[in-house]
Amino acid sequence: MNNRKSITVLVADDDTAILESTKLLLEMNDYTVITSTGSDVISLMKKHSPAIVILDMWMGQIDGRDLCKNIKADTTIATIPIIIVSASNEIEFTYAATGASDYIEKPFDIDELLIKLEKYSGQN
Amino acid sequence: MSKKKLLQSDLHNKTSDQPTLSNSSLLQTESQYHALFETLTQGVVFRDSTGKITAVNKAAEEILGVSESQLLGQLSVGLDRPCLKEDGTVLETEDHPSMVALRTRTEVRNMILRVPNFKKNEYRWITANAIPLFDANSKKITQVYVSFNDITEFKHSKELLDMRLRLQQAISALSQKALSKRPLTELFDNATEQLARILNVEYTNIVQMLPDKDEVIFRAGYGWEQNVQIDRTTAPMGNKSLAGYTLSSKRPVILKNLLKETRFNKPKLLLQHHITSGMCVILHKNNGPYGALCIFSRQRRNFTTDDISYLQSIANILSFAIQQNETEHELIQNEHKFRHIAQALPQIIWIADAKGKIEFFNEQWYDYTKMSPDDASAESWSKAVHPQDRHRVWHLWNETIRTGQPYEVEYQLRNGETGKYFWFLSRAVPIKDKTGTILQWFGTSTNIHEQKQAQQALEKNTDLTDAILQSLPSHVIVLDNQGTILAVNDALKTFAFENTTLYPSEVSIGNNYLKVLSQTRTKYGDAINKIKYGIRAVLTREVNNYSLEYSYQRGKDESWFLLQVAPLKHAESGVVVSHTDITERKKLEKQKDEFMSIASHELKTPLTSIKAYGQVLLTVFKRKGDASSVQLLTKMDSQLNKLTDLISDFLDVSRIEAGRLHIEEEWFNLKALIEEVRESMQLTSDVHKLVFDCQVECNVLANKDRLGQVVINFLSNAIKYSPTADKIEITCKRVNEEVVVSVQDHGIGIAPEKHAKIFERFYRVTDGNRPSMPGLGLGLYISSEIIKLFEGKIWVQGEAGKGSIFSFSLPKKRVQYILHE
Repeated sequence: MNNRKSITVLVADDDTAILESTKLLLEMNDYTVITSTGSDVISLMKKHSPAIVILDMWMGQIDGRDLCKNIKADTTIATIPIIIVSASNEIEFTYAATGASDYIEKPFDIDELLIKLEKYSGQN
Repeated sequence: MSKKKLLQSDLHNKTSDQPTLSNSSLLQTESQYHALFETLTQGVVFRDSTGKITAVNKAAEEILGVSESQLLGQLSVGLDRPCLKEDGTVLETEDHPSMVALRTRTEVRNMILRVPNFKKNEYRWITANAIPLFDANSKKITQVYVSFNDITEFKHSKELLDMRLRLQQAISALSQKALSKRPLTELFDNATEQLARILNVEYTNIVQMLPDKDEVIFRAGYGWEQNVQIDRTTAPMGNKSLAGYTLSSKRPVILKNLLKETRFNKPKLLLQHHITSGMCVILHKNNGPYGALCIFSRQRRNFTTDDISYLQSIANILSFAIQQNETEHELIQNEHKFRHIAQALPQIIWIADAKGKIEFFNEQWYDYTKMSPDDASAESWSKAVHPQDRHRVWHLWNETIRTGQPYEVEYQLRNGETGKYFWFLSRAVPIKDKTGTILQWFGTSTNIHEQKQAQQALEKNTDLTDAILQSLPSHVIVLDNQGTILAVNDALKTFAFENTTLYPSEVSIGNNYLKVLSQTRTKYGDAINKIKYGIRAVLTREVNNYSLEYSYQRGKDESWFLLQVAPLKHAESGVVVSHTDITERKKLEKQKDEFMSIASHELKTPLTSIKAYGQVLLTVFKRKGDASSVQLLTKMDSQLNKLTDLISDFLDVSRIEAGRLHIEEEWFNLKALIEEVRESMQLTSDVHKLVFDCQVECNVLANKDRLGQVVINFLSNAIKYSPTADKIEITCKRVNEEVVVSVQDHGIGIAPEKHAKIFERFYRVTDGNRPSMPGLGLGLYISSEIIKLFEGKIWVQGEAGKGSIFSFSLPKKRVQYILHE
């Protein structure tokens, strides 16, 4: 558990309530959390080099899939795994094309999210 | 004198002026002559200068029926009997050909006479030649050479032929009279007179049976005494007269000798007339005997077969005439009867002659037209016909008379009382005689005004139907049971004009729509095939009706159409095909789908944070050890999951309707999926034990999540609708080649009549007594749509109160069975 403090998770969502509640949940599970409402995702990634990014697919004006592709095109941050989040169950079929490592459907269970975080943040 | 000797001397005489022959050659010639003499088929007789017979050959012996020895020295070959001349009179001896030759010293050639044949006791006809033979020196007649041929057979044949010819001429003369429809009495008189003459008898008669009395009456007679009177004198029936006996024995009778007759009593009349022989044949009318035709002779006669057949021929001719006469009589009688009946009929009845002239109208004609019988006669009937129709009717009637074809025409006929015209239907048929010649026309005219008006109303109705058809916005094509186009509406024509790819110009009345579709080359081949399939299926009554939504690219835009195929009311009378433009609806549906996507996204966003906040609180209370708060928060979380599911269902339905339910397929292990679902669903119920009986292990080609969704739906329903049961059974088995997954509960069950409905949208099962279970009623609808995508079947079994078994199957091609060794 202790080593989780060193794991930084970037959560991006245009909904601040989701940002706040997710941040709280992840911090209670010992992760270090940075949040973004979308526009500064790339700069934050470059600044903090998070171990994993939880990226909403649909953030108002910003299309998470395009953002995802841009991230993957930038070699300095391309290796950072991304879990894409969507309210649509069709994400199952579309996430792979964006370069994301995995997906999770809204509303999600914290246990499910924690399993995926562990998987992609290099734990175990 | 021997024949040989006579012959020799004769030959010497005959050849004395010839060059002298040597002895031996002379002898040889003699024997040759002798052989010739004896074998000649001609009869040969030699006589001396006094006319006495000196030699006779074999053929002569044959013809005369006597031997040479009886004839030698005789003057006549007839011995004591006379020879006869051709006309039957006696041929005196000095007129015999040999005597004539002696007297005249010239040859007699081809004298025809009759000589007696003693053996056969009859006369033979011969043709004889006599040649006098002279002494070379004295020029005296030494002998007469007589040769003769028997021509009896020839003579008989000729007589027979002459007789037959006479009979034939007589028959044909009488036949012509009979055919020319002369009065019967004239014909009878002719026949009786002719018979007497031809058959050489003294009396002939024709008698008719009197049906009421037991007698026959004279209708004609020839040769009878004054006391016999036509139409008065009668003879008794039965065995008391020849005619009576003939009629009762029903066959011709020949009377050979009245005095020896035993078959019938000797009638006074015949005895009075000294009758010995006779014949009697039957005359026939149409149905039965008319009477008899008889001939009588005072001489004893042996009637020949020719005589008999002649009498029968005459009888046949007379019978024909009698029948003909009778038929005509009946026709006249029938026509009288007919006119009587015609007056009683409600229709107008008329009769025209073969040339089309009206002979008769019944009362109804005069009642209706108010014409007088004088007006209406002949051609003036057409005055009652409406001027508009007159020419047409008159022309048709003349055509009918010309061709002999039945007549049928509708026209307006003037009511003489009101002056108004009403519609009538006139028909006429020819009445023909036995030979097919038209005798008359029989016609009827029926008032069809009401039918005509009804028909006109129907035409209006048809106009209305047509108007409806034309005003429909859908593109409508009416087909007969073969697929031939009966009607198309304006909407289709207009559309076809604008766009020739979907409805080529061949979509027009008379063409076969299925063929036109087959020839349509568009890139929407799949839609075309489905349209053809649908029309065929309804045409063959394989399905009651068929509908299909299909799209095609129209310029830049995608157009959507709804095809509907419905049968025409009467079986096998065709179908109505309509294509309705549903592009607008489809656009709206798409907008709705987009809206649903946004709405569900928007709904899920606060749900996500609520759920996350709840989980924050849950973690906090867990850490504090506040068990009751943890329980409450857990419940809240499960309610949030339900809300999430409801929103997901909405989104699914929206996508199903838009045909956009996204499915990706893969092979996966069915047993593992079901087990996984069972485990997670077991967590949702403490009451039920979920039992999985997996009888077959297999991989299936489907979408794991979607198929899981179906199993979840089955199980959650089973849990929901069997609140008091303690067990739910899941089975997976192989039925034929398909794999079948079933979920059985022991709950409220579903009445069989509702089994089909429960897979419809928004349908919810109730048992009538209880308040219905919560839920939107979308689960089974979504499940059935999912199973359809995997080409499987979904169904339910069971009854109300006895629990339900929900099942789905996947087809053979989507299943790979795993065989364990």
